[in-house]
Amino acid sequence: MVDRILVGNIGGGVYGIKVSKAGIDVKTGDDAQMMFDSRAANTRVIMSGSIPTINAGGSLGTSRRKVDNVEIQLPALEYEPLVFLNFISKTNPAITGIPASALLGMAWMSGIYYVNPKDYTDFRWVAATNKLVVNALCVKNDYVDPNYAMYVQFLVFSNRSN
Amino acid sequence: MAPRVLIEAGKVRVSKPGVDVTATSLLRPDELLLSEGTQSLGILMTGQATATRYAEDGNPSYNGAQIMLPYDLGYVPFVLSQRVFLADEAINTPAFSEINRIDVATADYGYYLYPMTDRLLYFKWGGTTTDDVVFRYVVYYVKGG
Repeated sequence: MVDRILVGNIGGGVYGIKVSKAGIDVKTGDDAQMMFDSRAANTRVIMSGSIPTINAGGSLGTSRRKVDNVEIQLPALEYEPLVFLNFISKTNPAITGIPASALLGMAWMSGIYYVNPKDYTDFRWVAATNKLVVNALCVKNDYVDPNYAMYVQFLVFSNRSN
Repeated sequence: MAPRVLIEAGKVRVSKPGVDVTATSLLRPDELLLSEGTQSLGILMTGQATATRYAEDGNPSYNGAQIMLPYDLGYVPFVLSQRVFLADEAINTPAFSEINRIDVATADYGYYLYPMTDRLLYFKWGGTTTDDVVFRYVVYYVKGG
């Protein structure tokens, strides 16, 4: 079994901590083979969740879902964090070749180019209250379950937004 | 030299180089490499694959790419993906792009990513005249929400 944790002088007179990937000797592995290196910047998730959508109405009826100025309370922070948003839905049972009614994310939303306004997700951070205010709009394309409401998922990272 | 590792009741922290870990606060999580109550962005899987041409036959069918995860996570993971532009494509140099849909000489190139609990699902946008799309992906352990 190889050594995987190194605490102390990790090389070049630098003191810190390194943890290698399974099967890799922490003393000889290169940077890409490390799970953790105290010399390297990293990112962590400080909060995640999902927001239920409502019917957007309009010309596309119930096939378009939205989030309108929903507030998310974040933990107290002294800066605006980096945030990622996208939609979560389920596969359409009528589509062949993929699991029926399985949960899936929509990384770039519906892709339907002719709708107006176009699909989007956006947010703003309110420093005074440490809240995110989220807006979003997305059409259900053929690949998602027309009977599933859809959610907006969010990830809040430890990095500063700028 | 500033102390950088702190382990005590309710706290496990490693600060960035030059930052005194005893002076850190969760109000400033970017000062920390590791801290209690936060999840590191560990990588589950990376790779490169191809989404084949989508034959729009008018029926709701799938013709793209499916990349199976090592196991069913039970939740939808966070995934980053970029299209790989090859040397002979529009911009004449290998590159990566976050753009998921472009028009090149009236041909329509595009792809869409659907991360699932046990696989990545890609499909292309466009008709039979468009080419396959090559993309790379990074799947993180992080639950999307």
